[in-house]
Amino acid sequence: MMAEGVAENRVVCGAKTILCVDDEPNVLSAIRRAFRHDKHRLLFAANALEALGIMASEPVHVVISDFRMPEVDGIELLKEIHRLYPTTVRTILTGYADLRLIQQAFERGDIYRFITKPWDDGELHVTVRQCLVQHELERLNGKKEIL
Amino acid sequence: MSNLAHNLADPELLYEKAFRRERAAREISEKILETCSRELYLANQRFESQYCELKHALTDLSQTQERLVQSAKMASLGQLVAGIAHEINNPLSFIMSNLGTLAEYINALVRLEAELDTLEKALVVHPSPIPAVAQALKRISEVRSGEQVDFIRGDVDALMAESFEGVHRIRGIVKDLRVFAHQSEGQKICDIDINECIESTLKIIWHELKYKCRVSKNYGRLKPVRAAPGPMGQVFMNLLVNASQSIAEKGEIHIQTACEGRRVVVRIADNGHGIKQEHMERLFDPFFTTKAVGKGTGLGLSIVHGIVQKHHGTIQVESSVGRGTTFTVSLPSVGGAL
Repeated sequence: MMAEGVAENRVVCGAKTILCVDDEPNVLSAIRRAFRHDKHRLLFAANALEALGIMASEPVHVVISDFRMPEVDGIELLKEIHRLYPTTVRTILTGYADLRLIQQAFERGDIYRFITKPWDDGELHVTVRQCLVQHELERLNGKKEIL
Repeated sequence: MSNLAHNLADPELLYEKAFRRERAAREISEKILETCSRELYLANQRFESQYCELKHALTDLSQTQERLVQSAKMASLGQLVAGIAHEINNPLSFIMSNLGTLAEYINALVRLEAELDTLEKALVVHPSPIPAVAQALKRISEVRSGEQVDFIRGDVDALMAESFEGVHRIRGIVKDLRVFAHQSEGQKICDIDINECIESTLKIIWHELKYKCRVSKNYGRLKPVRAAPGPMGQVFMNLLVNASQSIAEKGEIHIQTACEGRRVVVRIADNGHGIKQEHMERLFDPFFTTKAVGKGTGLGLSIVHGIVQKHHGTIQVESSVGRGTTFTVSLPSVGGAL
């Protein structure tokens, strides 16, 4: 944690692409607004299939996905992204107190961070920044995985 | 023949014989009677003890049934509540985020308005010869008075603050509902010291207690209790916060712990306003509250009850209006010597 905090100040990230996945369009709008000052490019998907479609067509550096979604849930999606695009940093947004599943996904390395709903915009920014730094560090180290 | 005649002839002998026969018969019948009544008595005793056993079994059964019905009710209520909490939480999450953004938007517009004000004042001092500018100025002042812009500017901060407060309140309620729905779910069970559990809870809520309550403690030496530390802390937190809220200005809370047989018993007593007799029955019902709107969800004691029950414990309450309330939580301790 300490090393990461230090690193965070040093690592300078260029503009990155962040993909947000939620079946609730209002959540996506709220996130879009929260990041309106950021230089990063935001992409949006309403479900897992759409998300994977986007990822197949262009590089995505960070994914923030809702947990509870119809058909394929957020953990399944992030597991698949972990398999297909291991360098994409994965975060889950969960309104559900189902921490056990989240914890398991965390231990498997399918997710890097989780944010609980209702989120605090400040916290969301910090988490996304940490994800971006993580991505940059992994890129610089040329490693596929740090965690 | 002569003998018979002789016998018949002697009435004394006849009587004696008859008497003996009768006595023998009486003895036999008495013996039979005694045996019968002894058997009857023993059977009666057996029946009585069986009756007692059955009565106990019946009481146990109806208590178990009551508990089962209660836990079935709680389980389905838990599911319902978890569903509702989830449904509220999603819109709440974007409302909260949007409110933050809206505050920034308003801030931007207020700043723009201030610049407009400056421009307007400058134009009053140095009127513009351009008719369109004069017209725009007039429209600005019309909108200002028509929409009560001065009032809006003065009120907008209060409006946002009140909305934030409301949203935070909803978030608190949703959180309570979640705790209620997922009581001790996914929590690791371990052997805990209830005294330590109470102490760490006290630390968390000290800011709520310190101004109006004098807290006295009488901790006994306790055997450990097998419990989930988080929910167990929640039990004492809810009881202590309730105790503090029952005290209007200044009062006392007394915490006592002791080992009583194979149980750890915690008593939390306050000298607050007490609980009315008619409220006693509904005390542990979910959503039952006597607190003011926005001050309580009515889930606190229901959560306490659920957690205590899950740990095979019991909770009792004694209260008298105007004098105070004592909650007694009894939990099975882990066996073995101290």
